[in-house]
Amino acid sequence: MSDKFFSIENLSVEYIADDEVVKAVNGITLSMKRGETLGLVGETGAGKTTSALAVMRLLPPRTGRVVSGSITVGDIDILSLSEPEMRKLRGELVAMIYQDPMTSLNPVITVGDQILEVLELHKRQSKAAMKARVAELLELVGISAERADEYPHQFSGGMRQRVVIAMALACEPELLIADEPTTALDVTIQAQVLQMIRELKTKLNTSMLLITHDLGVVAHTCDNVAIMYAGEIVEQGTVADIFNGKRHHPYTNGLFGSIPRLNKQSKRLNPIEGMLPDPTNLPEGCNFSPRCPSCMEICKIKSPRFVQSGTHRIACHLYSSEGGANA
Amino acid sequence: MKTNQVGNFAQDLSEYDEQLFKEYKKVNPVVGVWRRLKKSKLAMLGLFFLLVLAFAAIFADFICDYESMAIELNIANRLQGPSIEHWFGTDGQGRDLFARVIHGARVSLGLGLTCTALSALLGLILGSICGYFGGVIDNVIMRVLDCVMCIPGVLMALALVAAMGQSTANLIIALTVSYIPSFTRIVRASVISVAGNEYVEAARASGLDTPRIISKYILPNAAGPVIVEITMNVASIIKAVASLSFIGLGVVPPTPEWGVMLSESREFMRYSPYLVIFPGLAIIITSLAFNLLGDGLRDALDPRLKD
Amino acid sequence: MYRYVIKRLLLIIPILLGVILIVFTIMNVTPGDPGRHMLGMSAPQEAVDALNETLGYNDPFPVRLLNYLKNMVRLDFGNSYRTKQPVFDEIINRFPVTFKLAIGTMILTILIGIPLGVLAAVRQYSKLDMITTFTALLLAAAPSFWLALLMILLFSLYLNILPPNGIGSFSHYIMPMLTQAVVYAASTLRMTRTTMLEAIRQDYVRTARGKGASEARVIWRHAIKNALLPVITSLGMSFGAMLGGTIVIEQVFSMPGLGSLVILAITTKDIPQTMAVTIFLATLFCMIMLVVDLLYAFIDPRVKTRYLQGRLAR
Repeated sequence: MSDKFFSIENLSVEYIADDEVVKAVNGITLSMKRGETLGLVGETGAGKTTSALAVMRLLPPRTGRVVSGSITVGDIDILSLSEPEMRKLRGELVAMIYQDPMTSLNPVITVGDQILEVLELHKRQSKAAMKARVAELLELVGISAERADEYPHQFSGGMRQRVVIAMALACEPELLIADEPTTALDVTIQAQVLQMIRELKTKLNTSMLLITHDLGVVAHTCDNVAIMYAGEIVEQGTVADIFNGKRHHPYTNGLFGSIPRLNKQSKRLNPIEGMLPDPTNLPEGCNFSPRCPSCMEICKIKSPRFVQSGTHRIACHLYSSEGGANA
Repeated sequence: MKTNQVGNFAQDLSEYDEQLFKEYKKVNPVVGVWRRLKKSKLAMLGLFFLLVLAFAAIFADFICDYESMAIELNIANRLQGPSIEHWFGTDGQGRDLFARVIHGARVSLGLGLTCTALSALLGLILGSICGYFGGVIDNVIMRVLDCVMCIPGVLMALALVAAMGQSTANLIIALTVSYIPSFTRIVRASVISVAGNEYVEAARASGLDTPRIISKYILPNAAGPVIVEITMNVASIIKAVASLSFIGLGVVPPTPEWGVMLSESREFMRYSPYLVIFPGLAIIITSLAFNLLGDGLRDALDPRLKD
Repeated sequence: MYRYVIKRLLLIIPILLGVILIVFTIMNVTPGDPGRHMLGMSAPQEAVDALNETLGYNDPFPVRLLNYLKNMVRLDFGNSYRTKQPVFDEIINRFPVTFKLAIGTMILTILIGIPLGVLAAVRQYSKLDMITTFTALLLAAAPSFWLALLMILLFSLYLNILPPNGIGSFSHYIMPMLTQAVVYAASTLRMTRTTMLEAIRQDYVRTARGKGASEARVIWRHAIKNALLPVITSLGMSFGAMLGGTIVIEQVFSMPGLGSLVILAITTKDIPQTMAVTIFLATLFCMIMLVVDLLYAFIDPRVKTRYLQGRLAR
């Protein structure tokens, strides 16, 4: 389709550690249009950050590698680029907001210089022009421009996250990957930062891949949602599909069951029991089967395919022709 | 049908949990460290060298007779190059160099391990006290150790040996004293980092007495860096013993100590270079062995450092 | 910042007092007396006693210590028992030798150790890494005096291109500097490699890559400053130790530096000389560590903030 701006096709990523192969991402497929926001939701360890790093081509060298698949931004095939070509795109076409603002900034360089560096690397401008742009960016994210000469340790966590955001937006990237941009922040600051990201995004018409495990954030920010479990996408659709749809993947139901709701009287939360499967040793069949409350025989043998209805896709035997008959 | 499924699910889940639990229990720290250590070829090489050295040190008397080969002068036989009869040749006094190197392992390992054990023990006690209690005691002990650390290099050991007279016991005291500060600092730092943890707070809140908290909760968690430091220090002390003996303030001749042997070799080194080579190699191999093992242990104890 | 420096300088005083107390005690309460040492074994006991009396060695220990401190406050450190000259004359004569040796060694150590350590880390598991790391491992295990002997054997006795001992010319310093530098560079290399490996795995390095920075920029601008902090401390300590006269190296190459003075003073129970050398070296050591700490502040703004607030690092 031509209106797709960003797409991931059948991406698989492995980590190799101590002769063990960790299958972090197993054949995910995603796409989004220009200006859209796609939420990637799942618990810690589901492979969300790994997918994001694969897009940036920042997987740890030697240990992490893309096994198969393709990633396209605009009409550029990211995975086929040489390293110097990729370098030109990082920060310019694709930029990332990192998860932990406390460790993502270099402690020994001023925040101003760290933002300036992005411009130095991608824009041919005079020093004065770039300095002015840094001041502008800082003001944009709500930090007084005078503080450009201060070091990260002089900022609070929320402020540092704003610096990281300013850094990501410096070259007005066309695709922004936000990896849990608010997880490390206080609730009040979370709301501020999210609001800011939304506004900036609209202003610049940037597409955004928002990684989070917070469904509230998704509801407020995203156009489309993909739910990830153990390196696979189990459900995908518009925000309306996911939040208002009738049929869901049992894992999605579990996710919703594990958050408290104010508008519903519930005696207790229903967390999903068990843990993510060991990624060095994934179960046969559906990865969720060991934890699934609706697990059937076929789930332990065969991994499910997507069942599509309109914009809504679910990978579960409950809704497939093979499994549905059984249920 | 449905209930049956739920039942299956519950059963599966409990099996799954049990498996997870077993997996969790299996990882005994010592076993885990050993498993990781085994993967490091260099650490295993170090361990192999150490076993050979330990064998030489323990069975030195069976390998070569001490008196007749390593001590007794045999001037007629002096400065013979390496041969079938004398593997490493003979020294300026006609003693068999191989026998002296083998017996030297006993001296060096003995001194190295004794001094390390003593300074580690004292450092452990002082460091735990400083780290756990803090405050005035900590301040006093640390300031005294600061002073000791400001007295440069082997000067302290030298002064002690020179002042108290040259003997093995004094050498041990001197080296032990000079190595206490570094141990104390490491133990103190680890104890401070561990003592702030919640589980220590919890232990304290549940009324455990201080020595038990230190020995049961704090020291095991501080063990990693201390073990690495111990291993590395043996190498360092063995070299210090050799250096002191080399300049004539350590082990007294005719004791077959590697530094002493190197010192004696200087006179003859032009035409009998093997006299310099073999004792030196012995020092290198010993200290290399401990360093390799120490490196391996550090990686095995702190897997975060690996890729 | 000034407040911090002044605080640190003042802190040197109690440390020096402690050092004086420790060394003075070792030198004074242990067996052997200076009179016997100065006059030799064959001298009559009366002469020895008389000499000890004039040296004040027969006073009780606290009195001796107090006298020493009193004189010290007036900057009178006494005369050497051995040369009868003021103790600092000898120190000033010998210090240049040790200082030149230490500076040369330091420069070589930094030039060899740090770049190779960085390279080894950046190309972890490459052939270059394997070779340098293993060589460093071997050399760090070798006692420096043994390397010195091997060098003398090769360069002086066999090739005859470098003098085996003395201090006449620059060529006299080559081997002493090299032997020490090789050992220190080996440990610096190992340390730099470790800290560098740790630094390049930090999140902020990934951030830098994510901006599109080249590998060279990532290393020299982002990783190295953070990686060098611990290396600088260890280099500072090595430098302090080297100024203390690398006793063994000076002995091997017969260089009249502070190291050989230390041995001479201690073995002849020359108390004023030993005390003076110790005080001199301890002061130097404290100053170097202060410089290292200030360098830290220069590199790491977090430390600087702490200093500006006048808090002492501990």
